[in-house]
Amino acid sequence: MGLGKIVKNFKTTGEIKEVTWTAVLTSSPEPGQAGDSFTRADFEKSPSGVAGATPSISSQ
Amino acid sequence: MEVPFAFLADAANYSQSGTINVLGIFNQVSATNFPTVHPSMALVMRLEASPAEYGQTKQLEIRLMDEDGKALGSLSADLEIPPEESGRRVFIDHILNLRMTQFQRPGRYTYAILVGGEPKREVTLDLVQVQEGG
Repeated sequence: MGLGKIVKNFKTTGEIKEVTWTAVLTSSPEPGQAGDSFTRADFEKSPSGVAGATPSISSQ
Repeated sequence: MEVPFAFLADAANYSQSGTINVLGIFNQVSATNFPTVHPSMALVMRLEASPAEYGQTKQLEIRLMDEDGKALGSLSADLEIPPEESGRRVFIDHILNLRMTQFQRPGRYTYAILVGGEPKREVTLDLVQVQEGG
């Protein structure tokens, strides 16, 4: 299961500015698949505000 | 939902099999001058949900506080616990790479992890001022 199906409406404030968030559902990982990663910019680009719409492993 | 572990590290990533690789767990940073900027660190944590929480949405917040408890920044998101049928506890491991975090002065800082507004775990970070070359 990708992170975008688990984490939504990602927001940051103040000194937590540049974040890349990666998550894995380890209780039932999909074989051979690493976790999705995304940044705050991915949420801002996504009209739905749903993480993982444009997954990225790069920092802002 | 519980947070059985959380810590700061120099770096962390996932293996292809879903295990976590961690490099350099720490809870202290030294700097000669303040304010100082820590270029990169990883907050690693596990969230664990019971079968009774299958399909629920939880509000997750990471709050950075100074030693007076003043909030300096936060990260929040809605966490949807997947509907499983296994009857087992759900583990969701998180790696948050935090870049260019600024600390105004020496002292103890805390990353508080809250689920549904309730504090579940705290990770402390001591910022220490040292002499040049020390």
